[in-house]
Amino acid sequence: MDGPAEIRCHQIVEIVTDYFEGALDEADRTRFEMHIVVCRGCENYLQQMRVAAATAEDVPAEEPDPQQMAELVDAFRGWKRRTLEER
Amino acid sequence: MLAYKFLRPGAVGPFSATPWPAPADGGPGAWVRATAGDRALCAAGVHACDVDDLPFWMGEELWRVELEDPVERRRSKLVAPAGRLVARVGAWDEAAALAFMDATVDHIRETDTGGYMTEAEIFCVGDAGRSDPFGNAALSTMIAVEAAERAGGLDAVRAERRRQAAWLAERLRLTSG
Repeated sequence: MDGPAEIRCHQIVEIVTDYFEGALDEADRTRFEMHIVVCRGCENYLQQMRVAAATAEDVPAEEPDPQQMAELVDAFRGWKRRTLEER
Repeated sequence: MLAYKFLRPGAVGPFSATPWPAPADGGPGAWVRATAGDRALCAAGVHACDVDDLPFWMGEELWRVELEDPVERRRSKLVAPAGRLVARVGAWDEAAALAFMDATVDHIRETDTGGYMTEAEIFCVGDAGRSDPFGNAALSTMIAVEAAERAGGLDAVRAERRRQAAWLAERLRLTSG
């Protein structure tokens, strides 16, 4: 890891989820962290994402109302059918 | 094994946001251990580094840490099952960070062949540089490395990293191992 960090700010945004999930390989994880060291903006972004992820984990998962679920599925299928017909 | 670790203010891990227990009662702090399933810490282990790799990881607080065996030496860092804080390196403070940044900017000025001095002047000179001594000292390491790569390729990059590490070792009286 001798050369300059190869990861840029926009790439941090793209791979931050993989970073949290431990899905980056060793080299990419190290490049990610080296960028965070030298970029205050991305460091702040990382901490914001960490707080957001922790907050989301605390939100209880509720089962949707069956009727609302059926309406949503119908709406989605209708949207998908119309989208395919427009092609 | 003894090594070094940069932390954020309050001895907080820069990436994990995990607080490292401070030394107490004349002894080291409690062990911080990487455990499977802990998303805050790297699953591979806790990270620290040797003097040579300090410029990669610059932060607000520098600590001497003890690492539990087996310690794996990877490029730019050491990885261990657990680590604990032994003592803070008090010589690493805002004045030292600013002095490091000034020395690095001077070196960029001497070697720059690609306009990197402009970037250094924006972030690391005068009031701008002093607005965030630790952050801009870290940034100066990268500007210098990019300038070195432009001027002399990978050999120059390695030489620049050695220069940065040597500066830290001398100023802060750090020892390896």
